[in-house]
Amino acid sequence: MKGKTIVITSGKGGVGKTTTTANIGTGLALRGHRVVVLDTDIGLRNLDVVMGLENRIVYDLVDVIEGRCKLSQAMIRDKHLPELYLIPAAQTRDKNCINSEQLTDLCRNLELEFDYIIIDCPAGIEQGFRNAIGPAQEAIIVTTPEVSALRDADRVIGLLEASELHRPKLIINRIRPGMVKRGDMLDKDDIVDLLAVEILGMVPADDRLITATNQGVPVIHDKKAPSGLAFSRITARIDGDDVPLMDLEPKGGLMDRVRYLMGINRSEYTHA
Amino acid sequence: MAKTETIQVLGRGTNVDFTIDDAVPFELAERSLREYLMACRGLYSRGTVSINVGRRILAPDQMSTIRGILNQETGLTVSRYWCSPDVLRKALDGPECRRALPSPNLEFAADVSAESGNSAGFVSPKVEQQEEAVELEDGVGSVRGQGTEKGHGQQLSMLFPELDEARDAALTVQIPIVMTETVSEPSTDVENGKGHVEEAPAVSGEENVSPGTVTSGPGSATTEEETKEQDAWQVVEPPQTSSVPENEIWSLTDAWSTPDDHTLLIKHTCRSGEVVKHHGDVVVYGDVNPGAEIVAGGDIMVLGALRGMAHAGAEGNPKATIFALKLESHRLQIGSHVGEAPRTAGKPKRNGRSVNPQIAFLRRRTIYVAPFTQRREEYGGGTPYEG
Repeated sequence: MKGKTIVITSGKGGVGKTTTTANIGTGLALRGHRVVVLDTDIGLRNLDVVMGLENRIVYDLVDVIEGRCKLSQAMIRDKHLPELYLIPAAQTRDKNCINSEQLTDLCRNLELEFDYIIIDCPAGIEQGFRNAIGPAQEAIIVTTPEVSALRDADRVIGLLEASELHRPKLIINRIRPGMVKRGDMLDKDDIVDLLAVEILGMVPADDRLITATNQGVPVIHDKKAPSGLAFSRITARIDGDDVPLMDLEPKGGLMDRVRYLMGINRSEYTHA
Repeated sequence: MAKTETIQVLGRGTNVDFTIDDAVPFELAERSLREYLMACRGLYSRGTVSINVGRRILAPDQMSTIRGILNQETGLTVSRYWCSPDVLRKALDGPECRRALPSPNLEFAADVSAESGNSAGFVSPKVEQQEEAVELEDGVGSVRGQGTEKGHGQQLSMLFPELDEARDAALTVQIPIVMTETVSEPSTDVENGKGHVEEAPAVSGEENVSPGTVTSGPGSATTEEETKEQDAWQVVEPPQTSSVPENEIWSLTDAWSTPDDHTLLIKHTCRSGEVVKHHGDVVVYGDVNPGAEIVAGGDIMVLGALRGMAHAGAEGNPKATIFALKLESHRLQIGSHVGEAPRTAGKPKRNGRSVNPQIAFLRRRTIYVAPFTQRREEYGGGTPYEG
């Protein structure tokens, strides 16, 4: 059985690549797959923190590639899911100390044993990005509904297409349905119209996600969080289930609607 | 925006357009230019500066006067001249044109294809040439003067249109000359505050990645016959790694696609960072997204939404047009003229997938955008995109 390598990228920093990687990895593991999440953001590693595993790191990606340890020694098992592993990035090195071929070899080995390899790509379009997209068979672009993020996403899609990663899929992160409805935020159609790629899902802006991230537990474990539910649906789509895309709506309830109409939107999101 | 009697200066962002009234005597124009530059000393630091001298023919000493004024008043050093092919050919023919040529000692060299990337009128500040030479190939002439280059060059394109009015329109001679310049003392530019995002790809040098940059094949020799026109069309497929070595994908291909002036057909969406430069007309089957740049010697036609930067008639053709099914660019350029979309009050309207074919054209040195009609004569109105 051969696994699939998916790179999560965005171009712009801070749009939620690492959070998305952690949640998609966790989501796929929750669905019973054997998953490795791979942090390639060497020098600025975060994925271990988001997954709550930073205390367990002994060896990292660069150690594996430079032959200081075995692959299995660098793989950290998740706290909650036995079939989810993390390969952390090195914090003391930089992106130029590995190359795309080395990472591709690593991923080819992992594919023999695992169903999904999810690569967390660093921001930017330099060496780190080139390393991360090298081994990938599929790409997921994360963007937020802001023109700056869209501009970068557009550029990254161009680069992915040039690297034969055609038809990347898009996740729109941090949508605020209330703002979209008022016309203050770009909506799904605007974004798809501009980027001309298939949309994989939309994740609403969610306070619970921030809390979960700070606690080192991917929000997908939180069944009440709208963003967690959104990630569950995205995971299902990656796994091949036909889950229809739901439009985000401001949460029901008369008072909520009144508040929303008045612009006092305390809880404006629901699940997608 | 500043205005004197004989010198009109239109500027926005990094683009400044000097227009010297061609009806006044040269001495007056010279004095006005000097006065203007003295009045706003320290204003210019970088960007594209073009000087439009109208129908005036400048003798070498007059050119050096202007160069001297610029050098003296703003600390600019002239580094490079550039002539378009037919202009130079004409200029070499006609005796009255000869004096308009900037340098008497012409050398002929076979290869200037690499030069073309840095050709006139484009924001490409990393010009590094330091020698003094004139190179000619297929009538493409580039005359380069002595220059000291630092990171930010400044370009100055001078237009010398229509040397002899009595001649046939087809024989119209234009000598667009670009001087790449360096500012000796960096200064704050009030107008630079509104910088353009579009400029970024051109500025960021070798590390810049432009995967889909179209480079079309060598193409057959240009023929005048209609029958061969069809063969001359070049189709560009989406970029593919297999055919291109990896290191080429990641390097900025900033050069003109080909010296031919065939129509270039781009069959994919031009995404941010992609730069297409072509001598002839360019047709895009798809969108041109923000951050992408299309520079064409002829017309540009976008069968989709045009949101990026489009520069038609880049070799000094003021009759070039830009057509798009959805024209949403904030900045357009035709010839040496730059236009910015008028700031619409309030939110941009969402027109979704609806199509509103529009055409941009140059009228009285201003770019106008009007709904597309089939007959050119009907382009009466339109929204001015002022530079």
